Amino acid sequence: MKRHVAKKLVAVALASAMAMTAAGCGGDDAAVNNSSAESTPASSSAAASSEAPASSEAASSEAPAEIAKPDTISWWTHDGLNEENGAEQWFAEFEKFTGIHLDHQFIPNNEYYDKLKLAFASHEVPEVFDLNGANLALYASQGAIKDLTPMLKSSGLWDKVDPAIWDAIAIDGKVYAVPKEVPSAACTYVRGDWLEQLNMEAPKTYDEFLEMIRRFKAEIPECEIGLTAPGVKSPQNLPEFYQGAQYGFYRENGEWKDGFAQENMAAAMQRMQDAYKEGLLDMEIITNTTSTCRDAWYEGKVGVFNYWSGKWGGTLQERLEANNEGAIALAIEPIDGATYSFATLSGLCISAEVSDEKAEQIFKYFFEYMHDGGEGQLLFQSGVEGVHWEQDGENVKPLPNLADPSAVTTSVWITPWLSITPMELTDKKVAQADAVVNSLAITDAVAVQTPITPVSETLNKITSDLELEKADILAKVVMGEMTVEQGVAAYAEVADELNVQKVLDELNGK
Amino acid sequence: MKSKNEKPTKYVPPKKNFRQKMIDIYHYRWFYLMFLPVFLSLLIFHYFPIYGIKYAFYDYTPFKEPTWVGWENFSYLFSSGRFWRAFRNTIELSSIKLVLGMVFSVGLALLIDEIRSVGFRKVTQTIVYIPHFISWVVVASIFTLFLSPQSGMVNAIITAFGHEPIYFLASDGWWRVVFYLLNLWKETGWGTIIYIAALAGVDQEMYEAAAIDGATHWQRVKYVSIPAISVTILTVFILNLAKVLNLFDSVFVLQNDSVIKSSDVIGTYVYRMGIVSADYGVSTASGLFKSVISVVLITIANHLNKKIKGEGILG
Repeated sequence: MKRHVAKKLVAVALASAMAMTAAGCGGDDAAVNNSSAESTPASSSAAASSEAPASSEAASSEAPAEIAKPDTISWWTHDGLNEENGAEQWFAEFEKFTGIHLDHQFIPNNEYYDKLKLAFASHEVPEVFDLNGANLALYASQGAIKDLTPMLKSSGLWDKVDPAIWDAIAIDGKVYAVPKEVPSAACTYVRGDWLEQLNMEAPKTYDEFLEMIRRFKAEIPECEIGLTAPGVKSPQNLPEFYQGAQYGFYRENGEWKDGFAQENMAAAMQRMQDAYKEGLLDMEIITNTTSTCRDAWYEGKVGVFNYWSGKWGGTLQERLEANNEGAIALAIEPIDGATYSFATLSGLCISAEVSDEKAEQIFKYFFEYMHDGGEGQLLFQSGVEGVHWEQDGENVKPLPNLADPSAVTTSVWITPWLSITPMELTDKKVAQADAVVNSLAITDAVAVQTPITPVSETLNKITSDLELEKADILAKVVMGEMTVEQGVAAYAEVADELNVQKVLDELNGK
Repeated sequence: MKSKNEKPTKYVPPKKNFRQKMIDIYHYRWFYLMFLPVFLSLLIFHYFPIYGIKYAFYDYTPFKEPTWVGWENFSYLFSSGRFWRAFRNTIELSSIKLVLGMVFSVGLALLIDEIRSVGFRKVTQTIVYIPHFISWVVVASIFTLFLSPQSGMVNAIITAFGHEPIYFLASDGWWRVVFYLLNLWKETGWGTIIYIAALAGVDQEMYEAAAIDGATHWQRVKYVSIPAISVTILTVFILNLAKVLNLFDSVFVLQNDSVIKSSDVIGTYVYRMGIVSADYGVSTASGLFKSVISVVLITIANHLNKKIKGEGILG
């Protein structure tokens, strides 16, 4: 009898354990949902609202009567503040200031777009999420996101932001996303200390640029890699070689063109092939990732590296100098013919599955709040006072990062010096390091906006195959396995087979 | 008394009616309870998603309602040279991987079986199993460093002998060699488990008899060990044959622009069409095609197994 009871107990225990294990598979998501799905009780919401600072009250009093404050907004992010660096305190602070509960999920960056597409497929889309330029037009064309233009134009935000930003992010005159910040631009960094050692000036022409790398490689023993980059497909990473050529589709004088088929792309391929053959480009450029390039730069064995300006300019200098005393990451102006470009604008969108009424609420109490030039913007830029920053005279002084006390938290969701609206609080200035300011000054002066990636029915269908073929041709040309002429001919064949002309016709409305 | 040559008769359980079956279920109810979570998980994660194969017949993106297109997605696939290239790459990479894996696993199992010290044997077994538990992402990162033409250990040796460094991962020919070697390094040890178990079951008297007959060490392996586990080798080979099209992780993490055409397999093709192009219809159609081929291979494997062992894997 006892044996039977024991058997039953073992069976139940094992069954429960297995069920718990199975449930554990979705543990992370469940945990996130549980923590975030707790709706704010009306009373606490009201109490929080009543505690909101004056600026919030003022904003509320200016709001049209029909736009009510939402209780909850669901929001997915894949960058910015993470759990280890005080995200919980930030969301509590946001709720305290606004009375709105943010139902937030952090998605790892490499899974973000996969999960977002799956969320659409299963109709479990967050109300707010961000899209980069490569996806914005696609989602807009599929009717997946709200047209924000009417809300934007009737709000104060429209006039507060540089019109060039609205132009750059608009698709057929409609704005579907509000940028969190101005996009970063990339510029070329060279080893300033090596230039000094060789008594050289920063290069101004392509020939001088190549000569500089040659001398780095020949005369600086530490220089193992002349120029490094993560792959060869991005004109932004290799502006000296592309010199205005485009890898993808681009718009010129109102007409869309296939960049890969243009003559200047053939010239760019020739330049890359020659430089690779001569050993001026990183031998492993095809298999490099961004992090391997950065690591090689930090180690001090790279002469030239093109990367983001601003905050990254500071990081490239700090980490390089930490390993190589006296080393200088010098941001240089673009050489003749080269173009520095901003990253494609990305922005926050509202799902088309959200009702018009809720969309207006989100726009008013979330989008406008984060760009209010005051309390909201400060919260989105610098985080929570006492957790992420403290007052230092008239400056906001970043505090040590909670996860890594050796670094400080300079921004949480919006980089202070990249905000699209000016900070109106005069005692909340942000000091910047020289390396940040220097690289920013260059890119702000010369970088050009990258238009939103186009979309057409045929392009959607062939994108995957077209990208594969282009990547293969370019890699083989650069590595010398194919001549430029062979590469051009191979692409013409691919373009014909995949009907790229139809894509161009669709993009140009023919 | 039965003669030694008489074939054993197969046990045929008595037929039971519905009531008797229910009584059996009640009798073994705690075992059924134990099985329930597994059964539910199979239903939820393996059987219910089969419903999604209907999208192979729809024009379907995540953003709009699916539209019925019949066989159009299959027609697109079968007329695409890239799909057939991926299919061919899958067969080539998988088949060679399968044969090499089997040969090396059997060889390593025979070597491990020869180790007489129990302690040393256990340590050896543990060491050769370890790579199996390392994720492909980590394996790819480690070997990218080892094989780097500028700072990798392998090229340091090559250049020390006066040769030019080799960019292993960006060369079509070398990439495949690296792919097979990494698969061998990672999975050979794990693959030995079943062969070591089979070798442990070989009658020791056969080795003693062979030794008395003057068989050398190698002859004992050749004429006793290998024949004794030949049925196991064949069964494992046939079972693996059914999985020949399941190739993704190991290829995906090692891919780069320079070898993308020679390394594109059905798994990465499905990924590209589904995730990159968001064309779920074509992606599902290619996944379904892969499943159908796998079912055919499993059926052939089952048939072969029946021929060899007298009973099939699937019953």
